Amino acid sequence: MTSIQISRLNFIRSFENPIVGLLKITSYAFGIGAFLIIFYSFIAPLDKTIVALAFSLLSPMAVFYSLQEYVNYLKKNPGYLITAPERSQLENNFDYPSLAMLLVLRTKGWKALWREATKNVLVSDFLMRFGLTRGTISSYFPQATPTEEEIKQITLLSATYAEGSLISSFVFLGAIFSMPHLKIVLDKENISQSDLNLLIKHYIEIDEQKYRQTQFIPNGGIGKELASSYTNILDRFTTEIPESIGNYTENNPILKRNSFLDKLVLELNRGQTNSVVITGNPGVGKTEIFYHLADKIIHFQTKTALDGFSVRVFETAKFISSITSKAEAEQLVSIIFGEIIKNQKTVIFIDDIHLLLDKSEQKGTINLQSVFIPYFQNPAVRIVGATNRQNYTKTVGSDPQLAAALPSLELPMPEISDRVTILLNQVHRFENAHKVFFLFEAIKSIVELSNRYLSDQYSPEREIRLAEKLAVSASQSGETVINSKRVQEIVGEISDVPISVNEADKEILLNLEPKLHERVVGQNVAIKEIASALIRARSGLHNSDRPIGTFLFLGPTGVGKTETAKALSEIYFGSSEKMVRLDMAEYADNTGLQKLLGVSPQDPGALALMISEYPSSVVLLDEIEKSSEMVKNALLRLLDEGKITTNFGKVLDFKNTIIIATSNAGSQYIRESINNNVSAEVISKQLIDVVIKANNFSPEFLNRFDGVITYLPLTKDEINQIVKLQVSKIITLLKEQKGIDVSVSDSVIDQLAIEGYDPSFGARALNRVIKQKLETQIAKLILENNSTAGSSIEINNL
Amino acid sequence: MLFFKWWYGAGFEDQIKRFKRRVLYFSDFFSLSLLTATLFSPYKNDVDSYSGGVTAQIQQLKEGLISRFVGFWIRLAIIIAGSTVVGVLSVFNCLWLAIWAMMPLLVIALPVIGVLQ
Repeated sequence: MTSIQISRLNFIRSFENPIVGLLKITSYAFGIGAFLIIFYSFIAPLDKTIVALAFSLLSPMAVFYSLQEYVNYLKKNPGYLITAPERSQLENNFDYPSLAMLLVLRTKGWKALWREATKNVLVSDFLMRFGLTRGTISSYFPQATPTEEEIKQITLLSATYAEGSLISSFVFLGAIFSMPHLKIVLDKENISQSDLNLLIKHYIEIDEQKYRQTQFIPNGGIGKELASSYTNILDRFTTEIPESIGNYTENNPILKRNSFLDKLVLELNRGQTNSVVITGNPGVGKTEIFYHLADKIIHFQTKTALDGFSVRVFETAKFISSITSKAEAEQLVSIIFGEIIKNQKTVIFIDDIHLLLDKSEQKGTINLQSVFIPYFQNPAVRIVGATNRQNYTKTVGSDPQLAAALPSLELPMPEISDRVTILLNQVHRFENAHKVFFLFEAIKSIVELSNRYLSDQYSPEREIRLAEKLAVSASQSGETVINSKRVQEIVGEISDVPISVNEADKEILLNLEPKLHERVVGQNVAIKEIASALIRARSGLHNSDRPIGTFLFLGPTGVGKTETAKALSEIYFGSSEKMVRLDMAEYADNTGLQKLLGVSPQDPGALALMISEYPSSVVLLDEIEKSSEMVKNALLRLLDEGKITTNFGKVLDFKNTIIIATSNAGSQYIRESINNNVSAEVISKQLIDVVIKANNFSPEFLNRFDGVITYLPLTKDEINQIVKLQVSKIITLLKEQKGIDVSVSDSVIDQLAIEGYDPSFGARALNRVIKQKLETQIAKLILENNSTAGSSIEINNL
Repeated sequence: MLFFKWWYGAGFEDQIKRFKRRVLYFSDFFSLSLLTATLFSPYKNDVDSYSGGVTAQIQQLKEGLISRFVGFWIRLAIIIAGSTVVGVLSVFNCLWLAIWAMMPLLVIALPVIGVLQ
């Protein structure tokens, strides 16, 4: 027996057949003619046959009209009269477009399904987001038609995704790609099941929008003007939000932030005082939320006394720049709010409200607190302010009376999954404007990478701006498809951090150990551990909410700890300049914490200054054991979460840094153990206990590091190698700059190693000895022999 | 059968919904509820609270009454115009619902009516 949905689909198709369409138009044309004849017959008598024919011609029009209504209804309500028992029939679980796909799949096979699916622009868009083009998808599907068992599996899977609703095209295709033997499609395109679900949900919502738009939304009508008073001064400094805001909000949904909107509506209906400030960092969407609030108010959707109010935006900058004195400003504010009170039905939005309430009265601000407070307390005045948390605390929060009249609602950044959906809604704009297409992987990358590398900006604005930048740059370079690689490149350019692991980078990462050894002699265990941590970070296994790496280097002076840090900055960040050193001995006393974390924006402290200049760098905390306990405690969060809050409330982001703390703690133990022939592994294991017992570091502090790395005293061989390294640098320099060949004998190398090595200072004295002994000797010989390019010098003794 | 079930069930309900929507649209367009609620309010809400001496207050009262008088007539005119439109619309809609109910019958009846004319 043919199922209801198949019968209906066939009926709809036959009704939309061009021949039936022609018949329909003809019947309408004859019907209208017949109407005119019948009306005319009431005015002037006509031949009875003509009138009879006219009446007869109305019948086909009535038939076609009735059927058209039925078809329209069925298309809007595909689940009409399909009861639970009827759902047991497989086809009755589908809406019409997906049912058409199912029938094509069943009879004509996989390739025909693709053709059927891409007839719909939205479905085509959905598949393209995954990078699935006609060419790629054909390669995944076998020629043959699926078995009935496979069809059942797809239906079952689709029904699970549809959660009780009829199966749509998106759900149907999603289910096909989730089939165990077809999952390869998702795997090859690097699409996770959650990505697929998110995209299905997004496209279903877009698809449903076309039906939502037909609903009637009131706007108050022509009498609204009569109910409001003249507002001449208010009009001068405010702009009314137009009714068309609805079109904007429809295309820019705020998703889970609807609950925030409800809170805002509640605040504006408190009763005693009805004003509120939205606080949040720049770019979190305060204005966006306000637009949605305005839309709800204008179109009678709040279901509160606010419905039908006029919503206006106060032009703060225009107001401040147009006034000549504070007295004038106070007078204007009184007039404006007088008009608002008289008008009764106005909600006013004041962005950067702190500019009007700033006690310090810096340039571009004014302190109108005294004149504003009575209006904030007046229930007839409804103000929605916006500013960031710091400015709110500074201007409003510091005054209890003001804070009570003007409470705040903190708007946090949207969750990561919501950011993806927000961006999906926004990219259409850029795609249309710049003729480009964002793959889903690119959208995901924008969200993930901006979260890690652009953390000085706030979501969702930073993602939207980044998407726009990508669209512009892709369009300029003639690219049409934006993938995740392109996103990595652009984010890398903006943040100055090498993000994408390209072939050259892979080479560096895989050869990190030998690369580090080119500059650091010995310390094999330490170098191996550091290299492993960095490979983990660059390959994406790293937790993105922490610094790239955190290490504590323990060991005596002059054994290569600082040199390792320098080498890392050169290899990882491309320059040894990208290393900032803090001498932690400077933060040993009670003022240490203030010096490190500042006291005010004018005196922001060492960490804030450093990270603002080098957001991506190696941070060397030298002699960490000498800093005060308070400083060490403050650093715990930095090591754990990659961020730290200054004493004046600013959050500093260290997620793009490698943090290296060095310490000489336990050096005595290391030396003694080496003298007693204790192995390096045992020393490393026992050293942690030694420094804890000696109260150098607490266990929780040590646990925060990715690695506590032991640096051992240098052996004589290693000292020799260091001397050779330094000497070869001098030889290369002379060859490059003067063209003079210099050779140094092994006995001289040995002598320099003996003289340059100090058990207390390691290889630190080496540079000085090489300069004093070797470089001076070479300089003398150059002068004595008048050496020029091409000549050679031999150093056999010092 | 399913078609007739729809025609006198969900189809008819759908027509009533459309009827409601049209009435709501025109009621909103002519602001019928808002204008009725503010029928006796001053024209454009342009009266300040009373202040000054007795003469000034009497003057303000006079101006207020004139404003309310003007406001009343303008509002009433719009209410009458709007109500007429809504009324006419309702009559046509009721007629349409009757035609809808008879439509299946009319398809057969119309040729017969024509012959009987």
